[in-house]
Amino acid sequence: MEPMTVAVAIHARFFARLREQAGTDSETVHVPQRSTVGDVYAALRGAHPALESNLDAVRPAINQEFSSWDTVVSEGDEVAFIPPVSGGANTVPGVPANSRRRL
Amino acid sequence: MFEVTTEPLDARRAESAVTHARAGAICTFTGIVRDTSRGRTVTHLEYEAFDEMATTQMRKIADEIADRWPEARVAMAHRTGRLEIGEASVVVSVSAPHRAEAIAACKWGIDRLKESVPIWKKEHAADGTYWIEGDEAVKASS
Repeated sequence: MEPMTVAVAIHARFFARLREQAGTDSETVHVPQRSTVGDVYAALRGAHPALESNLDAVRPAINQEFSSWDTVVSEGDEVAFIPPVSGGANTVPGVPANSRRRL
Repeated sequence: MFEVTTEPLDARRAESAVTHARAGAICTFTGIVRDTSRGRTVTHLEYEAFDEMATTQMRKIADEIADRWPEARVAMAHRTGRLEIGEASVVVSVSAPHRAEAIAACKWGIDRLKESVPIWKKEHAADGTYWIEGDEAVKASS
């Protein structure tokens, strides 16, 4: 790995059970350029070990659009981590199931 | 009308938003807070929303309905905060020229809302509080 020279600032948001686990509803996290949403969540879990470890139980959204864990984030993105909603199976419209994975 | 609000919901307001001269049918679904869930006695609910994304997702569902039932008009409202037993948590109202489309599109609207709109329900029951996540009830920290 090359040393991290450039980082991007990501505005992370947590809701419902994930908000309680994180102990906050939002925070700014810095990750290397070309990081994925999964990398952002891993960094946040480092700071908040109580955060859900099963990625099938979390849906990421970038700038209010559901995304996959493999999507690359950009400077200033708002990345929300969303637990399953009350009435639905944890399916992500438009995102193939094989893009989900476990930490 | 697509809204997330802490104020009590009014189904008539949603219906007024979709009514027009060529609409011969309005179908309205109202979700109500009930006093039991999974065998537990519920004292009250709390709903939490990602407000901006929730209204964005509601508009997307309305677009899906427009693709399938081009003459339908849709209104959606979801309440957040503390709700007591018997209060309305969600209203979906759809107008169309005839009842078959209005009923089908309304069902599509509430089903998709429950799947894809980022709003969460916390049940306050006699034995503790639970986040309701799909078919699961997960013990909450408070």
